[in-house]
Amino acid sequence: MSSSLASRLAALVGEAAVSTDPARLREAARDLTEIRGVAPEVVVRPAEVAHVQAVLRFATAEKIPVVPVIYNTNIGGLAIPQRPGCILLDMAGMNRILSVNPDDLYMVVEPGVRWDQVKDHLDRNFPQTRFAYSLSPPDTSVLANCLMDGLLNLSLRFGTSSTWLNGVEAVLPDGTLVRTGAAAWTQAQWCTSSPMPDLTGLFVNLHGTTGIVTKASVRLQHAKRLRRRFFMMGYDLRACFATVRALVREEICDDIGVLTWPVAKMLFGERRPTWRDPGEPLAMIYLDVSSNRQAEMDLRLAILEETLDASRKSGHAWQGPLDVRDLVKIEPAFQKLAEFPTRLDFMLDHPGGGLSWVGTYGPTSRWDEATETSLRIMQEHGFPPFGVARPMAQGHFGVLRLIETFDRDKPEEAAAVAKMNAAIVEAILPMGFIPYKTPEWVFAAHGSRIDPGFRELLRRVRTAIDPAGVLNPGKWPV
Amino acid sequence: MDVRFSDPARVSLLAHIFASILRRGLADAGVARKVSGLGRIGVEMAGMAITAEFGDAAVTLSGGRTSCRAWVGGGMSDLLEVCLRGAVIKPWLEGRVRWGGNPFALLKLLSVLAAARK
Repeated sequence: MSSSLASRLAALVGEAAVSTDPARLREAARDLTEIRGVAPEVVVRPAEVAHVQAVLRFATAEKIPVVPVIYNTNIGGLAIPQRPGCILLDMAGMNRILSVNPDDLYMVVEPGVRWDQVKDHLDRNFPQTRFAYSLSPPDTSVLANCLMDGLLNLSLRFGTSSTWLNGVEAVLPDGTLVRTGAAAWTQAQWCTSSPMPDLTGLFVNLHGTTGIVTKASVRLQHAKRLRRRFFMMGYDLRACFATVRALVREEICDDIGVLTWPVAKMLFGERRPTWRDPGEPLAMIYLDVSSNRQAEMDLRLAILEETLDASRKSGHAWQGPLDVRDLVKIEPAFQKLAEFPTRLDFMLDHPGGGLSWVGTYGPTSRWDEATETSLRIMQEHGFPPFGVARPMAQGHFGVLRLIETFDRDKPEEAAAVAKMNAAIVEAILPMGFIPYKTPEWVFAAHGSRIDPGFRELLRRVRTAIDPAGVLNPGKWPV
Repeated sequence: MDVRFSDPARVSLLAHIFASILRRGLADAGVARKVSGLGRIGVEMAGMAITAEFGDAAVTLSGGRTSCRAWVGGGMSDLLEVCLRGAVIKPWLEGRVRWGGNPFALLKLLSVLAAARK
């Protein structure tokens, strides 16, 4: 132990759970994005709830900031200390799937449980259930995604991942252990948050500023016997969005999304495609369809064909639908888009390993103008116009995400990414597209637009829960 | 036999797809020998066009269709059907796949596609 802080923490949680390894501390000062922070003074990796309670009691008493982190991948600087002297609370060590209830369709998991772990566990032991997956790497945290309201491949039908939470167990800054949802009242089930007051929301989208979640009940869904994934290619972005909206209205798919043209070339190994053949499709639409019965599947696919035919009759050209299994035979790289969870290595494994985005939730009715504006900004900044749009929650709103890869070791590239992201948010926030996993720089630039009453309410809630202000300071700065 | 792009900074999606198929098919030395020196074959698909020039030791893919010994064209689904299942006659009779030029050159190209399926 190199510091007295580390020694005091070791006395609370054991020496094995505390690290002051300089390489580990340095790595904690950055994630995959362009955002930089400062190294924590110490990393604590709790193995049990009692450790979390002990650390938070200590930190609150000593007014030492605590920054929670799990796998520290691409999270927009939210798990990076922004001031010196912090304790980094690495929750990856608490990684057990505690229970699965296939009848009442939920599982109870710890924060370090990964996507691939859930997939493997359910496929082996509970094939009658299915979970949904994000496009995060398979070895990252399910619960982090839920607590940050991420998007899943069943989010069109069942909503963003926070709505899959039946409740959480969390440690408050003074060490108090709380449970939300049905488990706050009964040990017999945790299959719902109803009819309890929705206090789970106190821990969602707040980036660990109200408590450290130590477990959660997350919903599962019924498995489907038949599953198909298709890709269509279109030449007109507005026609793509119109078709997606039409297919959402038909309620035939589990998931659907628009990927702009650079992604196809990145699958073939182009690192930063900025040139497009004039005859090339502008976007790919992917679509997941599932059913337990062949007749129902056939009907869903017939509706898909009818919808595409209607678009063709109005003058829009389409390629496909192409079954992803065929695309994989043509180019094995398409396997990365065939089955989730998946590691999209073309976005991660490149010199400097930087990955950033502006990811927003907004109205699907304004996708067209927001996407065109964003893609134009990306091209003006010299980046590939790589965008993803997906409807959420039966189409009540949608994702618009603009993605760029860059070299983290080149400050000029990181600066270019920051400048471009700022320009995109400036342009599309007024259209209603609010950045999710909201990074600090968005607050700095646009936080004054947030309703003053909302800010005051949030400030009072935060102050009531964390009067010392030790939890992830700087995030949601109200 | 190597597969190259004449301008690596300007590679269309069709060129990427075709290059991927050729690389797998030409891994078969016998097939590679068969198409060595075949000359230019044009491919049009889904609004894109490329020319594949089969030399002695390499195939070079260029954008656009220049004068060719033979050419083939169609929609993405139809040409993928040709590549994946070797289905040629039915899509041609139904007008979904078009071709022109020297049919024997195209038959040699089909042998590459068949090898890529293995």
